[in-house]
Amino acid sequence: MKNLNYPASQPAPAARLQRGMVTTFTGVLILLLLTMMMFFAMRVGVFDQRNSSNDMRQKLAFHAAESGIHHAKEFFRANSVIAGSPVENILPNGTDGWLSTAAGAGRWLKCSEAGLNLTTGSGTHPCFGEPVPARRSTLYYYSFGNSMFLPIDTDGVIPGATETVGVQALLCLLNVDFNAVTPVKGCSTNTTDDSVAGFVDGSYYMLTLLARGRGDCVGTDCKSEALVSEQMSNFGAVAGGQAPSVPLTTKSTFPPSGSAEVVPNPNSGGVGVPVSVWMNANTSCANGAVVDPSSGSWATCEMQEWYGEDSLPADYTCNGNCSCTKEEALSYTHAGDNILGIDLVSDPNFPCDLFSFYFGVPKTSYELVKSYAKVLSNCDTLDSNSAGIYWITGAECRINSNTTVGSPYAPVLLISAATLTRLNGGANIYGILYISDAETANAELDVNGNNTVYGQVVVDAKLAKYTGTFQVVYNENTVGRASGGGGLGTLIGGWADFHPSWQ
Amino acid sequence: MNISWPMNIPRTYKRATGGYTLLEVLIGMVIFALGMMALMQLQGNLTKSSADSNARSVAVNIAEETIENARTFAQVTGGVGLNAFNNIVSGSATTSRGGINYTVARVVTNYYYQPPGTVNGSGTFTTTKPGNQVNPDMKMLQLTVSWGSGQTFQVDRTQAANLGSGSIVLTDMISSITSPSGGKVLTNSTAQQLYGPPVDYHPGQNPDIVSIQLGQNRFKESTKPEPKVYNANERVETQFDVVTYSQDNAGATFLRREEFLAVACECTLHVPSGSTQGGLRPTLWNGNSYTEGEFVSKAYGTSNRDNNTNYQSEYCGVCCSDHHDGGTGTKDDANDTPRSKYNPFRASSEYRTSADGATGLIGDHKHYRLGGITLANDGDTYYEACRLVRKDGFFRVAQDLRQEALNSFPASYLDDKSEVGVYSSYVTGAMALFKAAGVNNYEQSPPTFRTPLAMSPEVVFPGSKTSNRTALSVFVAASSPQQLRSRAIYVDYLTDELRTIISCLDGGGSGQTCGVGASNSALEILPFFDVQLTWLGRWNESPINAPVTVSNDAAIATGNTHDRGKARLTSGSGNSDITFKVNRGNLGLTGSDPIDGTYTANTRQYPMYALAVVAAPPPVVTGYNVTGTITSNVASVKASDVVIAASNGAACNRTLTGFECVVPVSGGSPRLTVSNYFKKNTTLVACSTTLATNGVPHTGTTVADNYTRFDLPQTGDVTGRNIYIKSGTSCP
Repeated sequence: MKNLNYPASQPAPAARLQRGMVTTFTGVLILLLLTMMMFFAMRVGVFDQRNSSNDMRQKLAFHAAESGIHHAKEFFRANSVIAGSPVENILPNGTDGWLSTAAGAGRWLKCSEAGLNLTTGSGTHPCFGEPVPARRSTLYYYSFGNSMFLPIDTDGVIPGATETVGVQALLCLLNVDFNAVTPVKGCSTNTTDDSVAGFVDGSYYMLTLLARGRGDCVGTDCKSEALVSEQMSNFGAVAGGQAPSVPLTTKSTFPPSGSAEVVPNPNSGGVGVPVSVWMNANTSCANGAVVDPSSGSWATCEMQEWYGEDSLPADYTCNGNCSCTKEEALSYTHAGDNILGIDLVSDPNFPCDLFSFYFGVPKTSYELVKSYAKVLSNCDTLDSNSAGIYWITGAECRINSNTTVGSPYAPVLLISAATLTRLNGGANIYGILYISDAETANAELDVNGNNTVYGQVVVDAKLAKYTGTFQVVYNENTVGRASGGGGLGTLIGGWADFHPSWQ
Repeated sequence: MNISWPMNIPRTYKRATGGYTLLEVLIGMVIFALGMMALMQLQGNLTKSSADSNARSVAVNIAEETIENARTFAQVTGGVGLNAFNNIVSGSATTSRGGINYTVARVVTNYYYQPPGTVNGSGTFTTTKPGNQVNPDMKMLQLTVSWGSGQTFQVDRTQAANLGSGSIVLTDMISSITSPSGGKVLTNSTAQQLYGPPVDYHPGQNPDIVSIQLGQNRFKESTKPEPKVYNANERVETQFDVVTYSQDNAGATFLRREEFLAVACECTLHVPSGSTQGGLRPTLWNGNSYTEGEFVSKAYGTSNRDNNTNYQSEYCGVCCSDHHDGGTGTKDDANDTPRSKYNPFRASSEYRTSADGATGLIGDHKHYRLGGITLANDGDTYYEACRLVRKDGFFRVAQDLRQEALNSFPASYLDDKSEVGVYSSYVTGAMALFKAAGVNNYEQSPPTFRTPLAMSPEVVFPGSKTSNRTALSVFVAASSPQQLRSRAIYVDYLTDELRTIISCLDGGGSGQTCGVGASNSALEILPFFDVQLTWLGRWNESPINAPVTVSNDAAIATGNTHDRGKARLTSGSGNSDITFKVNRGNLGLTGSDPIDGTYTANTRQYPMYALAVVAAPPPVVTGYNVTGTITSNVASVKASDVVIAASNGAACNRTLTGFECVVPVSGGSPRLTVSNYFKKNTTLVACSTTLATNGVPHTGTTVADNYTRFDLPQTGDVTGRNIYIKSGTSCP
């Protein structure tokens, strides 16, 4: 093995090692190049990651904003009756309308008085959320308790502390002219002249909700932001249908077994043509027509005679003894008397599907209407501060003795689909009482003792039983408010995430 | 074994063929391989991370899709095959995208609105369900989309990588507002057009109710005014309706009903002591409806209604309060001042000025104390008559009635269609001429409403001329009297506003463009009405009581059961001029006593020429005429209800304000008995300073107790033999 040594004439081993380094070096160089390539590839990958995480961050901000919008929608829906009203003490508990000028009550300020350049300016102020500059001066923005943000704690509801959202709102009191081809004439800040707004109490309004969502926040330092707006407007459950302008509509039972007094709509059948009761005389309807009204004990008379006053009381409420005497009655049936006046309309063309006529959707699709309402399983919680649309489902809706439901300026549309709807005496209802057999075919109304409805009663049910005195006093204001308001919906095409001036 | 290189091999060759040792290569390869392995791993990680990033994007998309899908509900409660808000519940689902399986975990939290605990506070949303609330108001949807590791991610067609596990979380809130609610918003603008079921109208029967044809299948008629007397001799109210209706094969339907009420009232005058005291401006017809007048501070009155001594209409409250002029209203129209006055045609001398004293009353029209002569001032009782119209269920004071035409007819007229047609076309024709003649502010020189005989060609009603005396012989017998009838045409003041609409309609405009809805003709919106006054005015005949007498009873309680306008044959034969007389204003409807000095000047009469027996000569009138007035000095006792009866050869007529008698030149001791005056709890007596009382006046507290006989003088034609009612048991 000793001859294994390199010959003496051959180069030294160190030189040979140098030659190996070249190989290694080349390999490393290639590796380096490849590494750099990979590095760049990695950068692309990181970019990809960053892209997707930025996207995710933006999505989080966007969904925070969306959550705020939806939260705000429900907030306004819960307050839809008072949100556009200038009436002080609109609810009997002392709650004021949000346009009220009472101290500490108003929640809307005029954009025109915000000190902004409304036509060409831009910024974070909510008034810039209205895309049409010319319209901004006719709007109000939400401001309450030194904050222009709605008092909804969306951040507290959404888990995760890295997203925040603030929601602001604009109010447009709609200027409505029902006689015009295009009824909506724009916005108005006139809350006193009913010839300008649809109603003095701002029955028609539009809201623009403006949500600013932020994502990936550490404290106030947020890495993403999304601005989303959506428009809403109020409506009545009757929109699309036709509420009859009469105090008592009945598809089944009239006259009552007890005694009833009905105060007609003085202008139902035309100017000065009063109608008290609209009765089903359509024999082609499945359950037949109403019995004839010439029995029982009841009377109808006009408002002046019923109230016994020279003008309508401001709270529409009877002050003392209100009743129809025989001498003053339009129609009067009692004992031997049987006076049937023009105000009783026995209609052979009465709609068999009264629900469809009234609400504009067939009775079989009643869930659509139910969706606009606050659905309750009984009537126990209804009181004078209840306002808006209620749907009662279940076995019984009992209005307990001496209970007032709704109020003159914030009436209810109480749709009772309960099996039994019972007024237990001394009840006052402001608004519309609609008894529906949509959920159970045997639905009935049972009136005990003396009860008064200031507005309208619709018996779209199998049976109505009356004992005691049932008074239905038509009131165009409560009927108008209850049928034309209480609901809040999103405007089709009202969603936007692009705002030219709102930043 | 020599394995060393041969010595003879050239060095250069040796160099060229020297090469790398295996070791060198091995080391190089190892390093390269290690490097490559690291790079390969990095490459793999990059691929995997790109796959993760892709998976995350897909997961976010899935989450957003899930949210969007959850939001597309049409209703809150579920229906068959319908997406519903309540179907948004916790759960999980697996979905596959590009061969990767994702698990979508939904955590749903329900939120319920809690009303604010304080007044004017803000409510909150909590997860606590109120006892009877069925559905939540809002849901929070927390989505976790996750994907497991080890799944093969296909980078492209040839390359694949193994996925690592991962998840994303996205949270959103979902309001329970349904998507169809957007459609409701759009239809809301028509929601206030409530449905008024058509009300059938049953047109009245000729000849009591006469239908005026307005054209375009529209008609207008007035019900028979019925005076309602509250108690014998006390204040009265008279109600009638004017109905506009359309008629088709199915019958008539109401278009409009104007419910009028004329009331006579006793009031107390007040000067306003502040801006909150006053009354309303007149309620005016604007073509569509009556519009309530504005409240202004001005003189006002209060009703003296009292259930013990003064039964008067309950509607006297608004009459006394509002029926005053003066004051300044923000809606007063300087270009149309008459619209703010209760009687646009009232003479300027009938307004209070500074010359009358009582500064607070300046601008008001003059009100008078009982008898219509003495001006009433602050705190005084005065007499008033108003025309009320029902506006939204309550009576409001409209402008005073203004009668423009009066006609009387024999019983046989207006009971067939062609006669009604003649009358109707007279009314509409004269109305059209009247409308054309009026100009703005026409109250200074009001146009004349043409009488039938002034029409061109003239319209001749039976008995309207002496040349066409209506023959009464066929019908008139003591046992079968003939009911004559009288009809008046009233036209309200046409405001500038109304005149604009009328000229718009006359110019060919439609109701829609002229702002009056479905009324397409001026006739339909003109405030005129044709009313039967038979039982409200006074019927007199000349010669008195022969050969014909026309009944003239005092108005009694209800139902027009009192007798007026019934012609009876008494004795003799020949001509009889039957005159119907009535006040042109509100008092014509209430049939009550004068309230001011303009009563007589504002009275209209219509003569009808009758012939009791054809071709016989008129009876020769022999005797003296004795006339006088009958007035009441007692508040709430109405002199117009006082009844007279003649005896012992006298023949008397009750006239609007008194009586007229014919007495024989000599003999018979003619007498006049007055009766039917009454006030609850009050003793009344009839007196005269110019007529001698025959016997003792009968006084008492019931209607039957009260009567007084007077002797009628036989000293020639005399006037001014006035009788008055006073309280007490004797005359001064």
